[in-house]
Amino acid sequence: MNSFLLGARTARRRPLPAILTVLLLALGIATVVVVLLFQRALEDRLGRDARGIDLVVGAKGSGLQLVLSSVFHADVPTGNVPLPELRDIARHPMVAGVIPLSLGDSYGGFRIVGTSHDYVRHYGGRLAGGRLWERPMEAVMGSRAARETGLRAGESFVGAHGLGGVSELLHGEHPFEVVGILHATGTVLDRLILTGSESVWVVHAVHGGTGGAGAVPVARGLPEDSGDDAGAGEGDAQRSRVESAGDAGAAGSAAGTGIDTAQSGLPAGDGEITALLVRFRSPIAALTLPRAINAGTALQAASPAAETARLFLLIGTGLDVFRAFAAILVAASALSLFIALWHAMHEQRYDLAVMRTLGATRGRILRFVLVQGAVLGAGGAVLGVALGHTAGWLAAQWLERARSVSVGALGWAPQEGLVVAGAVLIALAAAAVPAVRAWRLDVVAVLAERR
Amino acid sequence: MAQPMVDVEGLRHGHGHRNVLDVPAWQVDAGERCLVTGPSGSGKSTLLHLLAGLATPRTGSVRVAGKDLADLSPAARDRFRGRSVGLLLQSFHLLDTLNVIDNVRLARHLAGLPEDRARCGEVLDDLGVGEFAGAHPSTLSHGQAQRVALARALVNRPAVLLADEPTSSLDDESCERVATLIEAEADRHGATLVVATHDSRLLGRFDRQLALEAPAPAP
Repeated sequence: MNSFLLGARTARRRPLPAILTVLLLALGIATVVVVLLFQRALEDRLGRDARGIDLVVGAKGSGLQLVLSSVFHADVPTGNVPLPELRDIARHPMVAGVIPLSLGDSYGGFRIVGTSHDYVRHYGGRLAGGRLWERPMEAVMGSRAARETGLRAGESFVGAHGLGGVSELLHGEHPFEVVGILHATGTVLDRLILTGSESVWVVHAVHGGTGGAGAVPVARGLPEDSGDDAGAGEGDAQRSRVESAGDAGAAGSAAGTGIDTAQSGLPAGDGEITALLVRFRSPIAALTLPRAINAGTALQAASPAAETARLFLLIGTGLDVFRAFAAILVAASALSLFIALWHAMHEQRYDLAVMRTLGATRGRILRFVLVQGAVLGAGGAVLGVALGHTAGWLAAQWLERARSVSVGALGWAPQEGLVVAGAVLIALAAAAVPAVRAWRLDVVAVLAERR
Repeated sequence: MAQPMVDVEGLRHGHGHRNVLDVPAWQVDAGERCLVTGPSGSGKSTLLHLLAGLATPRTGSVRVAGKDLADLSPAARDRFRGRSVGLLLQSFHLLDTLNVIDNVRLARHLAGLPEDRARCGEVLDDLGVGEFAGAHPSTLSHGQAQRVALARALVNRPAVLLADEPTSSLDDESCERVATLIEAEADRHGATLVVATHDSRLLGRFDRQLALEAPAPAP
């Protein structure tokens, strides 16, 4: 016999209001939890994908679109740009390293990205089997791309024109050969099919384009930095550490900081690529270089950090709507809890009076009603967290399958503990007035009603 | 000289401006059995409530088992009631959310006494309702429910057992059986017994009697 058991047995007398209250609270908590999980997973995912990339340079257009297409591979590119113009940027003293990206085709819904081995190193990619590409039309599969397409080293595939959608235009004359599979990295790398930039040129030379918006006009020129970083280009050639194609071990020891070549990071030739990922040598570059590129060239420079912040502002509005909805649900559940406990208190007044005759103090009666509220609140919170995780998992699965949007592992949000504690506090607040009413119960008068 | 178990002096109590109870002096010694009689509205139940500390008198003092209830804080008075006073109320007031034995266990729990299921079962057995320990109160007969209520009142070995109209609405045979049972159980547990009733059939069975008078009509 204890107060919890007594409270639970008492609550059993009117199960429907208790169940409805718990369900309503659970729905509110679940909504809060889903918002928390998605926000955290998205921030984590975007943070990992954009880590170490200070600037994206590509064709003029929307900066957000450029970042989305080139860093997160979640939008169509703004167009293509000629390599000669990008070489100026790659050689700039403020630039510590660059990675070229050529987009345009896909296979099985996964983007084919023409790039350098630095891209693999940048995300800490390690080969699970095979080797990195060495020649045109050799491809390396990201872990998820390999798993879902079923392609293995030694097999061939034909890319389709377009980025992930259904395309009628297949590049049948130029099949790719899978030469390697990467381990999972938890980054965008897992969802890509990687190849050399030259492969993309080979494929698109056939039908006379590069799959994007076409080359932009030649740039007017990029001013050199005259300050502290003069001479910083020294040793760039020595830092060029493009992995040898036969190295089947770790793709690079500089994982996570992999943009470490400047000049050799770009492929030879005068072709076009879609974008250039840039790492600065110094934070000062963030103040001058983007402005110089945007004003002094026909190219566009966009900061992933700034564009991601903008993206979160946009998403934040949607999240705020969900938060407001959750707040309404929680408030409604608090009201429901109050009404349920108020009625329960009225129905239990004989029991409470009897408990007083048996020696229960007013304080114990107060706690008894508060405990009922807390138990209902905790029940709703725990159920809500479980519902939230289930709904979050289902939504993540659906997004990945139907929209090809990967939000990453949902895990646990640190704020969930606070949400549960908050729910119990709200329940206690809702129970406070009925509890005080129970505390003030006139035992003699209530017992006289039952004569 | 031993202290009386119940010692009332200059007691006056009422509702609003109306005085319903006036007991200048009254004492019950330990182990005695006392009947409180009087017509409806004479304050019999009110006197029991005052003895149990469920209400506080307007004037006068109430001492039970050596404690002046006015000296105790409300919480201490509640705890004292739980441990030293057994209440057998007219409507029994068993909690229908608990089974029979849990109703009895509740009395120990609320009095802050350690869990003792054996003691609860023993009291129920003594009163002949041990076989209903797991039953729901709503399934019991009137007599069985009264025995369970008596078990709950006695389980903490109270110094004083207060019974309010225990035989009203019973036929003669049942009245005799219930009165005998209550007396015997009070004796068995060493409790001083105070029974409030307007049932004339109980007159003559008790050591002492306090006759209350009907209140004067309001002016």
